Amino acid sequence: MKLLIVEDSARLSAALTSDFRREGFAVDHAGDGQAALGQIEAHEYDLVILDLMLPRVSGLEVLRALRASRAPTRVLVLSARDQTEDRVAALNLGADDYLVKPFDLSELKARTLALLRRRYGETSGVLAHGELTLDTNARLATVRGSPLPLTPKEYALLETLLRHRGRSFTRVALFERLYDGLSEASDRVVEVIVSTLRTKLASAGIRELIETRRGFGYRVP
Amino acid sequence: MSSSRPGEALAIVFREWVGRSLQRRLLVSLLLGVGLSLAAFQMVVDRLVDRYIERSFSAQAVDVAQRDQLMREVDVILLGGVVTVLGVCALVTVVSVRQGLKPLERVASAAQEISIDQHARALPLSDVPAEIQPLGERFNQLIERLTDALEHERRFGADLAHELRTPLAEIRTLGEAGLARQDVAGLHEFLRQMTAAAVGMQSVIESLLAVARADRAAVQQALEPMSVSAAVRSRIERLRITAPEDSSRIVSRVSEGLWIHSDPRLFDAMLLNLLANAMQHGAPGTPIEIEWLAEGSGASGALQVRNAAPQLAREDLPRLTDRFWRGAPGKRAGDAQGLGLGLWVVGSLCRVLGLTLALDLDEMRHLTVRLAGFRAL
Repeated sequence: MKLLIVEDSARLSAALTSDFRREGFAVDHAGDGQAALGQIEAHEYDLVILDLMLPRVSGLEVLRALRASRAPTRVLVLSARDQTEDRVAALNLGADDYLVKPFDLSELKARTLALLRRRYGETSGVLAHGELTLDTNARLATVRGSPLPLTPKEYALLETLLRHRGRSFTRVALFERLYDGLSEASDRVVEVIVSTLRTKLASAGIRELIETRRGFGYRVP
Repeated sequence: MSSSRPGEALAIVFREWVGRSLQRRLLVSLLLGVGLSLAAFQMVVDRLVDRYIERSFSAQAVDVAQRDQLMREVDVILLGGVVTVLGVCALVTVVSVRQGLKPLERVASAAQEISIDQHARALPLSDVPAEIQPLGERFNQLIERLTDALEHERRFGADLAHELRTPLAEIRTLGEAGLARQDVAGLHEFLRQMTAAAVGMQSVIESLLAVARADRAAVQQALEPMSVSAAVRSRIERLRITAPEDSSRIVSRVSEGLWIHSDPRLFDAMLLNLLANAMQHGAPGTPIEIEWLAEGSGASGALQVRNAAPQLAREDLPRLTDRFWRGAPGKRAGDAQGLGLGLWVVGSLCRVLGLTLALDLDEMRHLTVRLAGFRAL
């Protein structure tokens, strides 16, 4: 899952980025509206966490531009403005949710996950494939009810493939979804993650879940 | 219609000229009372005189007893006339004044409905007596000023709450995210950032309190002689400890021996905010110059701080002293981000001290902030 945090408070964005990355999200950060517009044009984000009072270009302008591009990206507005008219303006412009600062981090994460579920048309936080189950709220994989210990990146890759069953992802496409723009890692790291994930799944009794299609990439059938 | 016109005109004149003034109402009431009473008195006296003449012609002579009785009747009528005149005058006056004061009842109930929770409406003064009009107008002006002040306070409260939400969100999120971290180095960095956010909040509160506590009347009474050069030197020395890198850019051109009549505490607060503003928003590495300019014949002087401000435009100048204005385009990121309070504090303290604040941006984008009107000794 790829998130963009648009926030001019360096401290707040650092804390949010750190926490979401720890959960396995690929997180980019933009410190002003202009940078946010550049990031949105260059990458496909699942969700944007957007402050309203931004330097250069306001958050509402960013929202307007994002909706004009018809991208399916979900937008959660995170603002110190608590007046009803501010919420109404943001929601009318196409924001999917609105949270006022200061906020509870667990609530922000719960709302983020709810928006991501809506983004993919899911009603519950559970993705299942045979004996394998993914709890997307707890970000936990289980096989026949037993936890399968995965790293955040392994979990994120498995969740992406299960969420888009039947669709093939190239190595670059997966890298783009798993790593933020500042990452210095090579896209070859995806091969390593797929390899370790396959090993862990196999040891739990699930073999050949992830297919390799030459020229197309990886998929879960 | 035409026949009623003179009547209408008279009614209008009466309403406009007499009805609007309590004094004129009283005067007209008195004249009316006296007039009515005199008319009645005249009628009674005429009848007495007629009776006296009638008796004089019917009898050969008026005896003493008849004359005494006539005199008693005249006395009674005179006394009765005076009492009647007074009574009629009092009645007409009471009715007239009561009518004249009726609009005040409407004003009183309008005043009773004034609430501090909503925008107060002005008192209706259209039909209030002329003598009360100035009082009503003053009251309405007071209400207007109070409403403005309340609105100002409400906006101030909303601004403050808004400005404190972001550092509060920083502290809370850093705390919650920090609790989930296992690495000591990361946790240490989070704690450092939390402390910086708390210091930012403290600065907001202290700046606002400094202005709130600076009472103009009290300050004007407590002005004292102070040395400008000593105050500038002392402030720079303290900045050398707290901000050694940025403060090395400060150049003071204030000569020794300059004495003014001012408040040393507020002078220092203004100088600190001016220098902090220049250090934070000025071009890094460029000098920050402090100068003292004599004004007029030397009876007064101005303190001036000048620095390069490449991110500023001339159209930004009117907004520089706005509360919480940060000059969004081109502002520096991270810890160097300002609160948007420095020049607002300076402007507010200038008003308290009776000084004039002037801002100028030259073609080379050098910002000059001048505090003029210090009384030299």
